[in-house]
Parts: sequence; C-alpha cells; structure tokens
Amino acid sequence: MSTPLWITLLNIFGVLIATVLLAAVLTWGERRLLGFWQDRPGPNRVGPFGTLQVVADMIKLFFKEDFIPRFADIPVFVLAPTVVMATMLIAFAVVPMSPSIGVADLNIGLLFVLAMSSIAVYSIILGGYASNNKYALLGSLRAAAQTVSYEVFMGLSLMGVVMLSGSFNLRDIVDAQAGYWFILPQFLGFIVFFIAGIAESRRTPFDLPEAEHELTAGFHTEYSGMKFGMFFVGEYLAVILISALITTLFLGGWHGPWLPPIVWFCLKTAFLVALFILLRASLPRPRYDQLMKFGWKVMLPLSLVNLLATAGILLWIA
Amino acid sequence: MPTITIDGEKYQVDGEQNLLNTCLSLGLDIPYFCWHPAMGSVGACRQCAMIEYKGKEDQSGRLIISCMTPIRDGAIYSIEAEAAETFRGSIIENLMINHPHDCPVCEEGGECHLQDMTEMSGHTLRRYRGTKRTHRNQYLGPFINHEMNRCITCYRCVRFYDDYAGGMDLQALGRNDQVYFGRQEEGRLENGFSGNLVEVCPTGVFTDKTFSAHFVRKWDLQTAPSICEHCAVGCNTAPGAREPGNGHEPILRRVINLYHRDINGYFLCDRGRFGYEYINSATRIEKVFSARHETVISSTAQSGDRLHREVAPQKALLHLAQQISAAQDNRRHMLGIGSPRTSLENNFALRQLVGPENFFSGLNQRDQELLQLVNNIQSDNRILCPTTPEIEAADAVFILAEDIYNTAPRISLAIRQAARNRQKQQAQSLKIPLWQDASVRQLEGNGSPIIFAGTELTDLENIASTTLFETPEKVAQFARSLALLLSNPENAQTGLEPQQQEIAVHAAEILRNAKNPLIISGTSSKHAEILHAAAQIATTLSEQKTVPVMLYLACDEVNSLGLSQFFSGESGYLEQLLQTLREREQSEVPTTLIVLENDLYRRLDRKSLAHLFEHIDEVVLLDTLFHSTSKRADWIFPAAATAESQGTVVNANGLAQRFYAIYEGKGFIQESWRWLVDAVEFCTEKSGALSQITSWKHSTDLSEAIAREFKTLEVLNVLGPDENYRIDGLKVARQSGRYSGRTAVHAQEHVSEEPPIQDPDAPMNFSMEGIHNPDKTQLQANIWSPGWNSNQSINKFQEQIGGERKGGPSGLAIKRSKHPMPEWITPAKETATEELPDIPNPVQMQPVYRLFGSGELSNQSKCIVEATEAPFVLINLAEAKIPGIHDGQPIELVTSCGTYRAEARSAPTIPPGNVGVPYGLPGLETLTPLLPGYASLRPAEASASIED
Amino acid sequence: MIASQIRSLWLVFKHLFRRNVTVQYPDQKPYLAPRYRGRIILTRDPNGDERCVACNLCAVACPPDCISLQKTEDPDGRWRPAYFRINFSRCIMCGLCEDACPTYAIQLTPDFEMCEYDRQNMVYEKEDLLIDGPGKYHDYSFYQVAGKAIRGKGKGEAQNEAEPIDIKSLNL
Repeated sequence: MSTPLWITLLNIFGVLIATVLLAAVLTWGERRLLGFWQDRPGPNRVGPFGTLQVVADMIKLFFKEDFIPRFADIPVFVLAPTVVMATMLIAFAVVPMSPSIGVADLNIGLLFVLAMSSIAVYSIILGGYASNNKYALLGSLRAAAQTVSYEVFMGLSLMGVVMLSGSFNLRDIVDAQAGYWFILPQFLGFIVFFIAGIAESRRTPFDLPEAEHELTAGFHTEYSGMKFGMFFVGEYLAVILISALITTLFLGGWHGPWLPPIVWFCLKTAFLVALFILLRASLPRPRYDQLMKFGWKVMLPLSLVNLLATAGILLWIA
Repeated sequence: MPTITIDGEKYQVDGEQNLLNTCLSLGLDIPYFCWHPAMGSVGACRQCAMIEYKGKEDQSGRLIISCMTPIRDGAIYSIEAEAAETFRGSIIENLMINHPHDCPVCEEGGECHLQDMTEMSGHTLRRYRGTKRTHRNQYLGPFINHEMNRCITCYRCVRFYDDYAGGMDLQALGRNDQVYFGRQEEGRLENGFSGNLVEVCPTGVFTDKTFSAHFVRKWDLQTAPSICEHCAVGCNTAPGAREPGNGHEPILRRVINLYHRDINGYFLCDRGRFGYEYINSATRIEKVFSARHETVISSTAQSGDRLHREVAPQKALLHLAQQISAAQDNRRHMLGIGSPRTSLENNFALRQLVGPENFFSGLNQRDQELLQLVNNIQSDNRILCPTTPEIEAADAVFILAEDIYNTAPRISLAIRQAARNRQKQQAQSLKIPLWQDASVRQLEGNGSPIIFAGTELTDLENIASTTLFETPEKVAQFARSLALLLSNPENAQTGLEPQQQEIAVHAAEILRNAKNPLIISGTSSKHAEILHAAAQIATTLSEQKTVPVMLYLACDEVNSLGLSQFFSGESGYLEQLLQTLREREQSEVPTTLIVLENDLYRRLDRKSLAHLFEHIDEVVLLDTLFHSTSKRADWIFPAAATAESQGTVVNANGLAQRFYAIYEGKGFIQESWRWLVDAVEFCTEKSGALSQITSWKHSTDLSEAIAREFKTLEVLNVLGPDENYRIDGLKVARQSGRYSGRTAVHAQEHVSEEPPIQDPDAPMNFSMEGIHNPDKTQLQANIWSPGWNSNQSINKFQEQIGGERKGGPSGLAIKRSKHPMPEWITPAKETATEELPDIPNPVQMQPVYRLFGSGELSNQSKCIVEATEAPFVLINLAEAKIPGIHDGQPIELVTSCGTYRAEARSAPTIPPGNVGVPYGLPGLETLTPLLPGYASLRPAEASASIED
Repeated sequence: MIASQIRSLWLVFKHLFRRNVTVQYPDQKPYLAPRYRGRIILTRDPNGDERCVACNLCAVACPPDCISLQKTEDPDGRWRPAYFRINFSRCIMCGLCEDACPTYAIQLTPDFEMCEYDRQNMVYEKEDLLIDGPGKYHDYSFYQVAGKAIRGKGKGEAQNEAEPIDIKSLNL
C-alpha cells in the first residue's frame, strides 16, 4: 500500500523481463553447458562465446513460416502454447527474490505456484490434441498422466516446509529460514520436490511427453516458428521457476552472508538450473511404466513418510 | 510309399523317382548340373553325390550319385556327411578349373546355376594355377550368344536341343577335356526352341543376345505373370522390364518362361521368347495422331493413305467424345471392329460402347466360322482338350492338316515327347526307370506312331511314321474316310485311291489300338471340312473307347477363342459389316468406325476394304503398331501391348488366363479400353450404357461385367484377385528385393524420388514393396529362393518336381455348355465341282506357316526379322513343270488384288496345281485374306516393278 | 541404483574440465589418412580404358540404392556403362561398392567435402567420376585375366590361358 506505483511497476516489469530474458539466455546456456559436458564447444560462433546465438535463434524463430496444419483444431492450436508461457510467468509473481523484489505478496503463494504449474499442463494437452497427430496426442496423454501423478507428492513434499514455517506465504517461508535452511530438516522433502519438479517441467530424464526417439517430437510435433518458441521458452521458464522455488523453499531464499540478497538468490537459482542441465547431460530417459511405478510406489510413500515424520516431530517438540 | 531317412529325418516319398529328384521335392538343397526336371538323369557331372549307409551301425557308408539312384525303402542317406561334401567340393573345383574369370561380363551372372552350385558346395577358392583351356566362339544367329569358355560339359544343351527338341545342328564336338558344343559351321541355330538353351544351360555358354543388347541383371527386372501373345497356346511368361536411366520410361528387356505345368512347362518357343521386341520397335504407336487434311504438294504415300501428325490426347478424346455423343442422338453411326489379338476386356469395352449390334469381330466370315466350329467341337462331351502333359502321354498321334510346329510350336514339342512313348513302354517292361534318360533313349525300335495328312509338315517330319501330302480338300476326304473306317472297318466305302486307302487302313488300325490316341488339327488350313473330319474321327474313337478322346485344335491368335465367345450364330464377321454399310448407303447419317488392335488388311482383301473405307467417314484406330490399316485411320490412339496392360485371354484349349502389366507403357500409351472410357468421360450427356462405361475404373471391373454378360465367361469373376486383394496386408511386389538404383535411376532429372506409379488393376506394386515369395501367390513371377538365383529355383515352388506350381494352376477353363455336336453331314459342297478360274497358269494358293514370319506382332521384332525368310512360294517343281520357273528364281503371283513377287522354292510335298504361300510373311501380308484361293503364276520379268 | 545415477552425474560433470574432442571444422581440418575412404571415383586400366564393365554389382550392393548404370557393349567387345550415375546426396560412404567391384574400377578417395546449395549438383555422372589413372592398383587389367575376348586380346591370350582348341583338328 505504501510502495509507490513506479516501484510496483518496476517490480512487475523487471521480474517479467528478467525472467523472459533469462529463459532465452538459457537456451544458449544449456547448449553451451551440454557441449562442455560432451567434450565439444557448443554454440560459439555468434558473438562473444556465442552469446548472440540467442538473438540469432530469435530472429530465426520469428521469421520461420508460421505453419498451421490443415487438419489441426486451429483456435486451440494457436492458443495452447500461450498457456504454458502465461502460467509460468504468472507463477513468478509470488516468488520473492529479495526483501524488496517480488511482485505479489500472497498469503497462499505456495498454493498459487502449485496451481499455476498444474494449469501449465493444459497447454500441452491442448496442443497435443489440437495437432490432430498421433504422436502429439500420445505425448500429451503422457504429459497429463505424468503431471497428475507427480503433482500429488509435489504438493505433499512441501507440506513439511509449510509445517515448519507455519505459512503458505513464500516470504514468510524465506524469513523462517533465516537461521537454518529447510533443506536440513526437510532433506527428504527437498529430494522429492526436486524430482517432482523435473517431472513437472518435463525435463530429461522425465521428458516422456516429447520422447523424440519414439514420438518424433511428442506434443509439439506439429508446431513451428514462434509457437514452437513459446513451448520452448515455457520449458525454460519452468526450469527457472522450479529452481527459484527450491531456492525459496529449501535453500533459504535470499539469505546469505556478505553479498546482497538478490545475488544470493540468483546464485542459488543458477546453481540449480545448472544441476537441471547436468541431469539432462547424464541421465537416460526411463520407460513410461518405470516413470509411473517410480512416482506411485517410491515417491508418494516417501513424501507421506516425510509428512508424517515432520508432523510427528513437530508435535513431539511442541 | 517307401520311407527313407536323410540326415536323420524320416520321409515318406514317391518311390518312382530317383533320389535327387526326391530330395529336391522335399525341399532339400543338393547341387546338380546335368539332371534337368524335364530331361531326367544321365549321371554325367557327379555333382549330386550323397552317402548311403547299409544300416544304423554303418558309420562310413558309400558314395552314391543321387540322380542315378532309385529310392530304396528303408534306406539311410546323407547329404551333409563330410565325405559327400568333400567329394562335391572337389567335383566343382574340377569343373571350375577352366572356367574363365568373367562373371562380371557374363549375362548369366546373378542368375547362374553354376554360381549357385559353387556357393552351395562351399568351394569358393581357386587353387588351380595352371593354364586354362580356351575355345573360340561361334556366331549362332540373332537370338543366341555363344561363349564356349564358360562350358562345364554337362551336356544339357545337346540333350535338350537334339534329344528333347529334335534339333539337328548343335553337336558335341571334340573329346575329353576339349569337348565343344556348337555347330559344324557358324550360323543360326535352326530349331525353333533354341532360346531354351539360355535357360537350360547352367552357366553362360548360351545367353540371350536380344537381352544382352539392353542388359540388366535379374534382380533389376520388374516382372509380373504374363501370357505369350504370339499364338493361341497361351504359354505363361515372365517378361522383365526396367527404366533405361536416361530419362525415358521403362522398356521391356526380355521374356523368360514362367512355369505352368499344363501349358508350357519349362520351355518356350523362339517366337514367344524373342518376339517381345515389337514392343520397343520403331513401328510402335506411342503418341496420339490425327490425319492431316490439308493438301500436300507431293508425297510418297499412296492415294487414300493419310498423313498423320501428332495431336494432344485431349483434343483427340474430345473429338471422339463428340462422335460418341452424336451417335447417342442418332446423328451418327458408330461401328466397332474387335480383335482376336487383344484381351476380352478391350473387346468388351468397344462392344459396350458401340452396342452389340454394331460390334464386329474383326474376322472374316471363314475365320469366324472356323472358330465357332472349334468352339462347338470342344463343347462336345466326347472331346477332351489335352493339356501338354496329356499330349506328352499320347501313344498315337494323328495330325490333320496342321503344321503344328509353325502354328502352335509348344504343342509340337509336346508331340515330340509323345513320340517317345513306345520307347518308354519298352523301358518299363525292361524295368528301366524312365528318369534313366540315357538308357531309355538307347532302346531300339520305332517311335510311337505319328500320322500326318496335310500340305506341309515342318520339324516333326523326321519322327512322323506315316505322311500324306495332299490338298486340304483331299485331306478332308481322306480324314472322313478314316472316320468311316474307324466306325465300320470291314466294309467302308471310302472311294479313296488305293495308296491312300492303305494309309487310311493303317492309320485306323493304329488309332483303334492306341490306348491314348491324340488328334491334332486346327484352323490354319482355313478349311471347315478338315475340322469336321477331325471331330468325326475323335468322336468315333471316343464312342468305341467310351472315354473322351484328346483332340487339340490349334487356333490362330492369342484370344481367337475368347473373341468368338462374344458372337453366336451368323453374326459379327466383317462381310456382314460390309453388308450393313451397303444397306446404309442411302443414309445421310455419317459413319465412324472404331478399329481395335486389328490390321484389316490381314482379314479382308483390298477390294472389299476399299469398298469399306469408301462408306466410312472416319476411322479411329486403337493399336500398338503402325500397319496398313493405320495408314487409313483418321485418328490413332496408342494402345498398350500385352506387357503393359492387364487383361484376360482364352487359349485354344478354352483356358481363360489373365496377364498382368509388367510396367506402365511409355507416355500416353494406355489400354484401349481406357481410351474408350476416357472418351466417354468427355461426353457431356451419358445414356445408361455410357454411364456403365464410365463406372469402369479397374480392369477387373470389366472382367466382372463380362462375367455377368456371358455365361461361358463366368470364370472371369474368379480368375484372379481384384485390385483390393492383399496378402498379410500387402500387395505383391513386381521388383525383387534387391532392385537397385532406386535413388539414382531418375536422379539426373530430379534428385528427389517420386512415389511409384500405382497400379489400378492388380494388387501389385511397381516397386519392391510387398510380397516376394512365389509360394504365397501365383502373381509373383520373379522366381527366386535363397541360394537359388537361377531359374532352377522353380523346384522350390512346385508341389513336387515337375508338378503343379504350389497354390494350384493359374487359369480356368471357360464354361461352355456341353452339347453333342450335330451329326456331321458332309455338305454337298460346290467346292468339288469348283471351276478353275479362267486365268493363265492357275494355281491354288495354300497357306503355309512360318514360326518367324506368320506372327503379326513378332514380325516387328528386330531379331525375328533377321531370322525371317524373304518372300517365297513353295512349288512342287518336280511334278508341276511350269516353263520358266526354277528353284530359287523369282516368280510373280497375279491375284485379284495385285501382283506379288517372291522366290520360287521347290517343295516336293506340295501337291501339283497348288503353291504354298507363307501366311503373313512380311511382303506378302496383304495376300493373307486370299489364302486359300486362286492365283496365276508366272516367271518374274526382270524389269517388272513390284506392285504391292 | 541411486549410486549409479549419482556416479554418472559425477562422471559427466568431470567432463567440464576435459579438452574438446571436436575441432572447429572449416577453420581447422582434422587429419585424414591417405587411404581415407570418402567418395568414389572410377579408374582406368593401365591402357587408359575404363575399368568399369557395368556388371551392376556395386548397384546391388549399395544400401541406399544410390548407384545406377546401364550396360552397353562396345564394338571392340568390351562391356562398358552407357551411363554410370551416383546420387551422392543419398550416399552413406559405406564403401560396399568398392568391395563389390570385381575390376577395381570403383575406388574410394579422401574427398568427403561435397557441399552444394542445390541437391541436384550431388548427382555425379560417369564423366564426373572417371579419373585418368589406375588408382591404387597400377597393373590390374580385368580383360587380361578374364576369358572374354576383346579386340586386341583374342581367346587364349589372357593370363594363364592355353591356345584355343581347334575343334576341326585331328590332333585333339
């Protein structure tokens, strides 16, 4: 209420532009890192160290023929990619990046983020369905099942954090970690959330919806040009979002010595993003049934155990 | 049935055959060279060695040559025993010692039995380092290439050419390792079955010269089952085609035999094998033409001949469509002439377009009546139309006025085998197995009786036991007398001359005593009396023997008998067309004539045709080749030849068979019926009959329509699968699995590959996609089995060696209602009293036939042209002394339709007062409608110009 | 199982500090052995005649079916390809055609750099493939070891061949 309007606007657009730009830069960063891990240079021809590759890619994507297949459900086909991008960006609204940066201070921030990441899957389901292509449809069906399965314990795994901090407000959670990071008491929760986060953002090794060896390109088989670009950016936004959330929820958010809070937040997030990429570089994709089995038979019991143990300990202490 | 053990497996087998044959029938692989399924064993090459054990305890066994070993019940054999394998390896090593290192430049490479057997026996490394024996080659004519270095001395060539086909001019010369298979001097191999040497020779000594001129390997040929279009026997063939790679469309590369037990077995005649080149010839119609009507200042064309220019097909179709529309509104008469040399489907399409009453057979009255007579005779219960194996089993043959070697060559080859039956009986009585070929052939004694009566007998004359050369009239009289003698041997009043009487009595006795007599006759003498007499003999014999008697009636053209099913009674011949035109002379309505694949100048004499064309305003021709009729046509459409189209034909035995397109014809070429359908599509208004025509999209649609319309042709419905048929969800592949160059053959025009053309008519692909296994379908004509790249792989696809192809025979007999022939009343013919025409030196021309020269289509084949004789006339110079005419001198035949120049050739068998005129020989084609008929003979004047 | 996942993460991570195995291709060129097997050429025999005899074995050996040719026969009796076409845009440089070639006509060269803006330019005809020498096999001439007669080399004149047999001689 007391903050002046210009600061609010700066906050909103700053976060918006920063995240979108970061996502774009990540398209280059990921390829570069993958290159290093695969003993090759990666994109290094455009601009210094290839940093302008992003620009080149953007130009390319904008000028690509924006092709819509005749057999597609056109309105849905066009709208689908926007959903993923929009929801991811909206989710960023509640992420507190430093004591002063952060768009909204929502008292159910955590639920809001979970809700947004669930809505994002509609993008994929609709995109796959509207493509009217069997590979796309198979991809989106996988996405739906995968999201439904992994969302369950994604939420459950966070309940420990909520219990410890006693709030759904992300700022309160960060504040609660001033003394120690929740990764220590909630290590199990961290692991479960991290894995669920990979699955939610459909990154390797859980990228079964697009599994290019079996499904051509999965749900986005028929997409090209900027519509494909939105799916692409959406995925990176999801990576950043999950990384930022882990930072916020388990790694103490902006807390850290000597450096300014925003730098700590960015460093922690960047580390997690790099971890995401390392996972992609090293781990193979499981079979679909293995994915499901892992979710329901391993992760769900683990998160329940975590929940019960946390609750029990808290009660005992109380 | 004896039980034998081979390599530990027990088999129940047919004890009649030798061990090699049995093993191959069981599907076991064992190498061999000198044995041939049709020719039996001689045990020359020792390649098929196996081990026979005395009993279970016997470990070493003894080496046996399986092709010379009869099956013994309970015996234990081994193919895989090491001793046998080593032995076979050493045999092939020795055979290969002198084999030249030239597989890459050998036409047989890739389908070579020697290559297969070398691989099979595992001997793949040459150890011999000495010098190789070499031979010089011979020129063997336009068909066969000779490369003697490749010979492995299996003797199959002379066993086929001399022993099986009766050739005289190919011998084994020299001795020991210097044996040479060739002629005494260079020259064309004279026997009409020489082409089979290409398939019989297990290596590349004899190869197809015509194929070599546009050679590709076997695996690169696109193929489908087809029917030979050069005579009415209906041999099954497997033509092969491939793109030339220079941007042009596929061309036909060769024709090989496609095994059909009941017709051609393993062998084709040379007309069938080498006649295919007409399809690639310069006389081929490849574009749409229309006549030019502007006046030309000067031209070499004769009056009445049209000059043609190429037009766009749409334009021509639009024109034809206008005519069809006009005919619908009765503003125009539309007449159609069919053809016995094209499929039932094409004929039917034209018949439906012009209406049955306006559809004519394209035959003259005499030819059509003869065919109907053949049809009637074959409908009799007492008559059996023999298959080739049945002909080969006959123990007495009576050939009535049919020079079968020249009119139905494959049947003549079968008769030659029948001649050996007495020898075979003798062998059986001596307990010599029939597959012991050398032993059986050494038995002394005469062959089975073959009695001939007629004007000319080629090739079979040296095995004919009794011959009578007379005019057809006299031969018919002789045959009637023979029938009389058969029914009433004691006191038949024959009225024959004593000498002929003696022959008749002799023949009657032979036929009466024969268990399995065979009568051969046909339409070639153009004499109904002959057919009557042949039928009479057969029925008389049948009544005495109380079983149907074999009567083979040869017809002229591939679909002669099929076409005649469209007509009943007195209708449809060309003379009637003339009559119709005469009746309509007063009519103001113009007339269009559509001629379907027919050269009318071979059917009607020039005068009648001139008269015919006078009454026609427009002639539309659909055909494959330019000929005399095409010169008179106003519009010419290029029709697909047999190898380019699908259709059904009925052979001389009444067997309906379907042929399939090997490749799509060049450019605008398409099936005649498709041109007609396209023209109807252009019509703006379509009546009921026309809308039926536009509903035809596939060749099988027409086949079904024919089956509905004609009861006798009902089998067309079930003859072959329609285009929707699939095996395991797949069509049949026309190209082999190893078809090469798919992404390069068209690359110089466009580097991206185009999808293969779809076949609308058959469930087959013009690609390598689909079913390749000949076991699964009769539609697969590429006979190949792993390890068996040569044509010998057919062994793998027969129920037993020499038996039916697996999956049963292709082709079905048409269903003619069985009815006894009317009692043949000898017509009180005026022929007996026919006056000689009032011309100087009158002679009666009798048609004689030539394997190379009498076939309309094959006459355009380059290599056959080389083998065809120059125009000649057969005269009995010894008896008929005409002043100024000597053997080898030019003479002139003056006929009602012009004067023909030819060479006089002495033929002692031609009856005096007659001359033999070759039917359809290039230069004398327009004489064919006049045969038989009268002409005046005179020595040619040196300065006389040739009036053609 | 988890240990193996972590181990692979660690192994991959270590590669951050390895040297790159790739080179900056158009600027830097890797070393190619002199007998490196890139695209094919057609060679000539020591007399300067085409070695290819159009036997079609390369075409049938080719896995992507990118070789096509047509046999023709010269007046001197040699078999020769009327055209010999390879569609390098389909070629996978497997070298099976060289293996299959019975006359050493097809040989592989170190050239693999065949970039074109138009795929059509990747279609090579015989004229583009023929070189003026015998390639790796200096002395081999197919017709000198094969039994087929050509002009200038009659029957019995090839290596290890005896005089042709005169079947009309009495001295067999």
